[in-house]
Amino acid sequence: MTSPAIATVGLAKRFGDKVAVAGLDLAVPRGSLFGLVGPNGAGKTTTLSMITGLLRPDAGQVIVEGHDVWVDPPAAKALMGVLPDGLRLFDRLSGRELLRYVGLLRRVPVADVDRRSAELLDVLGLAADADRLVVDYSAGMTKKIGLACALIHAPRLLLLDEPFEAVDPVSGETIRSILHSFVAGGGTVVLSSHVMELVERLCDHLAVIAEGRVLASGSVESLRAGRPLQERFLELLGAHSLGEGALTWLHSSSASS
Amino acid sequence: MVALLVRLKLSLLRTSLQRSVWRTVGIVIGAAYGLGVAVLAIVGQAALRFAAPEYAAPASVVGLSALTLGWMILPILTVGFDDTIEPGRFALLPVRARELLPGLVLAALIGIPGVVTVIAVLVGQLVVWSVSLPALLAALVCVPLGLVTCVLLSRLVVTAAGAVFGSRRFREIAMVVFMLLVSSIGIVVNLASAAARSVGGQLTERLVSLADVLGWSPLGAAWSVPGEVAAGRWGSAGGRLVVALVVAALAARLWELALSRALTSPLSGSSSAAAVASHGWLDRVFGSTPTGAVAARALRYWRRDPRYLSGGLSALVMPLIIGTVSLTTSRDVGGPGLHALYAAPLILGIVVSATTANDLSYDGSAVWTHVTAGVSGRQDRLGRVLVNGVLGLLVGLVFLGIALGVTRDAGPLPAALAATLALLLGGLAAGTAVGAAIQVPAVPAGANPFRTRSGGGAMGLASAGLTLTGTVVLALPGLVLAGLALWRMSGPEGLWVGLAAVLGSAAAGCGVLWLAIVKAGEQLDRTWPEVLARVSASDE
Repeated sequence: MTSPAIATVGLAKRFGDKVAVAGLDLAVPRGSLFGLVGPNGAGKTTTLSMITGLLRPDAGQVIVEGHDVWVDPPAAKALMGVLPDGLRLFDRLSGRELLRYVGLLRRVPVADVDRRSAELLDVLGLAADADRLVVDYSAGMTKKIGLACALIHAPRLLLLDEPFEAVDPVSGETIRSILHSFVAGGGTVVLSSHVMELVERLCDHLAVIAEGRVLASGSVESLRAGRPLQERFLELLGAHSLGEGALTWLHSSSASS
Repeated sequence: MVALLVRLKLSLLRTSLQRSVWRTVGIVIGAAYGLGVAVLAIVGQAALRFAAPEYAAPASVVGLSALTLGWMILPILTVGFDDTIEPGRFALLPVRARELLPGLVLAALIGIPGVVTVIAVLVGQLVVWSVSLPALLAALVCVPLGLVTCVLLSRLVVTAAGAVFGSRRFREIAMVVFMLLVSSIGIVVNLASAAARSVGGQLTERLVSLADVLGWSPLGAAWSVPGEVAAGRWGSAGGRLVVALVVAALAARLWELALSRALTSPLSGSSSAAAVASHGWLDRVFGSTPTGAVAARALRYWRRDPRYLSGGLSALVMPLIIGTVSLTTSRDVGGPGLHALYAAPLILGIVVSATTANDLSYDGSAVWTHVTAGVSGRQDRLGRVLVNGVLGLLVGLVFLGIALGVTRDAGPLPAALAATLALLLGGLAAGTAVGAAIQVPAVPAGANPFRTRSGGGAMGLASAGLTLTGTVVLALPGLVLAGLALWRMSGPEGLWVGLAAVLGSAAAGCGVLWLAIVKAGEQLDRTWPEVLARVSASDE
C-alpha cells in the first residue's frame, strides 16, 4: 500500500471549554471505503469538517493526496466531494439549478455539467422533482441532491457525513452501489455513521472514534476478529445498560402521576 | 409564566454574550450607543419641560408617535435579524396563547432597543409631567400603556409580515398593498402639513395641529393623555384614554389570535409541488464561470427569497413618498415641487449597500458550498456585486426617466445621475467590504420571522451603521462632483460640467468598488471557515 489518501496528525479542536477532537491521528488507505463510527458527540462531524476545510483546527495537520488542507486549501478542496450533515443548501434553487451551480463553481465544463446532472438526477430517482425547489424536498431527497452535488465534479475522494440518514431503503441501495463503483474506479470514500450494521456491510476499513480520539482503526476483518462488529463496538466504548428499576415511572401501568 | 419567559430571554442574552468576543463587543457598543440615545432623549425632554413648557405636550405626542411607528416599521426593514422568542417553539408544551402573551410582551422589551425605549420614555415623560400631580398620575398610567402598545403593534406587524412573506402566493398582493400604504403615508404627511399651513404656517403651530391629529390616532392616543390632563381638558383626556385602551386591547386580541395559530401550526413554509420557472437564459447571460454562476444564483434569489424582496421594497419606499409629496405640492410656489423627484433614486445606494452587506448572512450555512468548492473571495464578491449593481442601476435609471418625463426639464439630470452613481457604487463598495467582515446569524428564508436569533441585533446594528457610514464616505467624491454640476447647471457650460461630473463620479466609484472587491475577497479567502461558523451559528 502506498501513502494514505487522507492522513491527519494530532488534529485537535475545542469549542470553549468542550474538547471536541483531541489529537486525532487517522490514515485512510487509498481506494478504501472507510467508515468513521462512534457515539453521538464523538467528534465525527468535527473531524470531517476539519478534513474538508470547513472548520479550522486548533492544532494538527490534514494531508489529502499530498496536499495540506490548511496550507493550500484550493488544491485539496478540488480533489474532494463533500456532503456535510446539518448544513443548509442553496435551497431556493431547484435540484437541477443547484447541481448546475455547484458544477460551475467547481469549473466543470457546461456540457459535462448538463450531462452529469441529468444522469445523477435519474440514478438517484430525483428526475421527476428536478425542477422543484430544494427547500420543498423531503429530508431523504435533500440528502440525495447533496450527494449528487458532491459527485458532480468527479472527485477523487468522497467525504460523506451520515449519507444514509433519512434515506429510504431503495435509495440507500442505490447509494451503496454508487459508492462501490466509485471505489472500484479508484476513488476513496470516507463516511460517518453511528449505525454499526450499515458500516459492517458497506465498508472495508473503519475507525472507532469516541471523545475526540481514535479508539481502534484498521480493516473491518481485523477489527471484527470473528465476532459481530456491534459487540466489539460496545466493548470498546464500555456500554452501559439500564439498571434494574430505572425509569419505571415511564410505565403507564405504574399509575403514579 | 411571565417570570419564566423573562428568564428565558435573559439566559438567551447571556449565552449570546458568551458565544464570541466580537458579539460581546458589538453588544457593548450597541448598549453604549443606546445609553447615549436614552440620556439625550431624557435631557431633551427635561429641557422642553423647563424651557418651553407650552410645547412639551405636542412635542411629546409627535415624538412618541414617531417612536411607535418606528417600533412597527423597524422589524419589517430588518426581517431576518429579529431576536425575539419564537412562539412556535412552545407548540409542544401545554400552554395557551393568553398565558404566553404578557411574558412575550415583557421579553420583547428586554434587549438594547427595548431597555433604551423604556428608560428614555419613562424617565423623560415623568420629568415632563411633573408639572402637576394629576398629570404625573396620568403619565404613570399612560406611559406604560403606550409602551405596551408599542410592543403589541410591533409584534402584530411582525406576525402579519411573517404570514404574508411566508407564502409565495400572497407576496405579490402584499407588495401592492404595502406600496399603497407607503404612498398614503406621503399623502397623509402632505395633507397634514397643508392643513397646518392653512392655520398659520408657523412651525410650532404645525406641530400643535399635527399633535392634535396624532393624539386621537392609535399611534399617539396613550401619549397625549397626560398633556390633556395637565391642561385641564378632562373630557378630551378621557376620550383619548378610551382610544388608547381600545387600541391596546384590539392589538392584544389580534396578536393572541396570531399566537394561537403559531402554537397550533408551528411548521412554517408551505410546501409546494410546483416546478419553478428556471429562466435558462439567465445562465447564458452570466456565462459559465464561477463568478457568473454566483451572479445568476444571486439574481434567482432576488426573485425567490422574500428577504431580498422586503429589502427591495424599502428601496421603493422613499421614492414613493417623495413622489407623492412632490406631485401633490407641485402647485405651490417656491417649493422644490416636481424637481424633488430627481432626489428619489438617491436612496437606492443605501438600500443596495444594506442588501450587499447582508448577502452572506442571508445565505446562512449554505455558504459551505462556496467554501468546499474553492470559490475565491473575489469571485464571490464580484458575482454578488454585479447583480445588486445592475438591479440598482436599472431602478435608478427608471426613476430618473420618470423624473425627466414629469418635470420635462433635463437640467438637473446630469447632477442627479452623478449623485445616483456615486451612492450606488459607494454603497456596493461599502456593502461588499462590510459583508465580508461582519456576518450576523439570520433567519432562514421562508422561516417564521419569530425564530430566535439572540444576540444578532447588536451586530446587525453595527453592520448597518458601518455600511451606511461607509456608503456616504465612499460616495463623497462623486457627490461633490454632483453638487458642482447642480451649481453650474444653468450656465452655458452646464452640459459639459454635468457630463464631466457623471464620468468622474462613475470612474471614482468604479475604482473604489474594485478596490473593495479585491480587499474583501482577500479577507474572505483568509477567513472562509470563520465566516461559515458565524453564519451557521443559527442552524444549530
